Amino acid sequence: PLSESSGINAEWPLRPGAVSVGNLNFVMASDFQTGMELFAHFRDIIKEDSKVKESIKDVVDNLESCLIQLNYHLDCIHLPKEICISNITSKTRDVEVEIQTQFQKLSEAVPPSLFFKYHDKWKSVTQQIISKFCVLHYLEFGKMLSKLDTSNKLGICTEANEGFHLVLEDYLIGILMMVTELSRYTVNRVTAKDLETPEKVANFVRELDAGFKMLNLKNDYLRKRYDSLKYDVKKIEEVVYDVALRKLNN
Amino acid sequence: MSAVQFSTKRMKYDTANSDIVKLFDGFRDELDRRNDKFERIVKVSRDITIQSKRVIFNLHRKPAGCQAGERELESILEDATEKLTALRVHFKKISKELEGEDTHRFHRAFTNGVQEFIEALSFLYLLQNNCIISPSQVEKHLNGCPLLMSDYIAGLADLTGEIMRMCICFAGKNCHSEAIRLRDLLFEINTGIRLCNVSGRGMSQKEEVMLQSLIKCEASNYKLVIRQLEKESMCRDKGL
Repeated sequence: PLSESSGINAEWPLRPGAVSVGNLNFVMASDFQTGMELFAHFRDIIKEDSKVKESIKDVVDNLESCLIQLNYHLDCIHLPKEICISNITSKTRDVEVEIQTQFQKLSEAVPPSLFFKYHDKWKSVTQQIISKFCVLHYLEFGKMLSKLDTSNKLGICTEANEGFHLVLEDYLIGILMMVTELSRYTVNRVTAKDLETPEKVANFVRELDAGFKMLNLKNDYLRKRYDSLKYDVKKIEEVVYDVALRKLNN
Repeated sequence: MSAVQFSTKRMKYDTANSDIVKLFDGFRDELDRRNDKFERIVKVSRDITIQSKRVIFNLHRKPAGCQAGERELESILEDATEKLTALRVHFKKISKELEGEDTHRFHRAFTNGVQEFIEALSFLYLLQNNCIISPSQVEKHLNGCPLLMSDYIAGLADLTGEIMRMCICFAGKNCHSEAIRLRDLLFEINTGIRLCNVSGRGMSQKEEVMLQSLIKCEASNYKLVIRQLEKESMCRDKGL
């Protein structure tokens, strides 16, 4: 409510000597100050709000740097050579710690009751970081990174009532981004003469597709992102088909 | 054999027992719960918007003229008060839905209704009390539904459109002092809101519309002065 999040008191301060008719005294244009008191107060609140936005922006900038590093270390999976996962994870370990530090800072910068007022500001970079973590986890363990493990990796809570938490929609969009990267990965695996992996990826992605089909989605960004899932699935299926066809011929 | 047929043949895993599918079951429930709540709030907000718009429309019927029909004015104001008071039930519904939830997550569902209501309520308050309703007074009418500063400011910005219409109406009936008073009020609100520099959906459009309303009031005040000067010069000519 206005009084809680903005600090406006219930009793509005009136100019001394002003006649009270209702709470905001408008009498004449020359009586400028009284109306201005209201707006001056709003301006103070908005200044506070700007400070919060500033500190959030700083953290988001740092998270974007972390994302760039994650991306850089992961990029080698698309090269036509052997992939050594432990090599990659040893490099990304430091970035993960930094990411947790940044999310800690973020949770301190955001007033708990205003989590969703500012959530839009960090959701994009968070979704992308989640997708990188999911790709890494799949390459290491062949499984989907769970929501609980994702929130642990980010160093934040899992449920809304626990505080600064992982938003379900961000997690789901992160998974969808992972699938897009996996479709690119599958193509490049074949180029690397690895003909076994495409089918494994295909099975994994089909399960995810079945899972997503269970959701009732609104016409929002999640829905839009989900719509491109079928193209990623198709791309992977075609790779599997191309390989299997040639294998049968051989 | 096409790629699609091929892949369907190869689908051997058991969907029902898949861990992933079980997880998504839970995801669906969470998304459904939230989306359904959002839609319920949207429906209530729409009803608030429609009723508030009716009130605003009726309030414009208040005879704008220096000799206003007292009883007619009273009945219009009473009717508006009744209609707006009836919306307390709607706001209660919204506040119940928001219990235990993060307000801002659902804000987009009820922001339009609240803004329209504030426009209607502040319009009525202006006609009754000759001044602008304060945020704490608005909160009392919202029956527990949260009032965000941005909604209050947006509602006030929308009110300037009604002030402009009133001002032009008075100017048309040659009520100088009323027209000037309203222009001054609009001037003050415009200055104040611009000073705040609120960011947010559509706020810059509102500010532009508000400025245009002020310019229309200034134009109509200008015409009043010109007409006055004309009359004076004609009287002077006749007197000669």
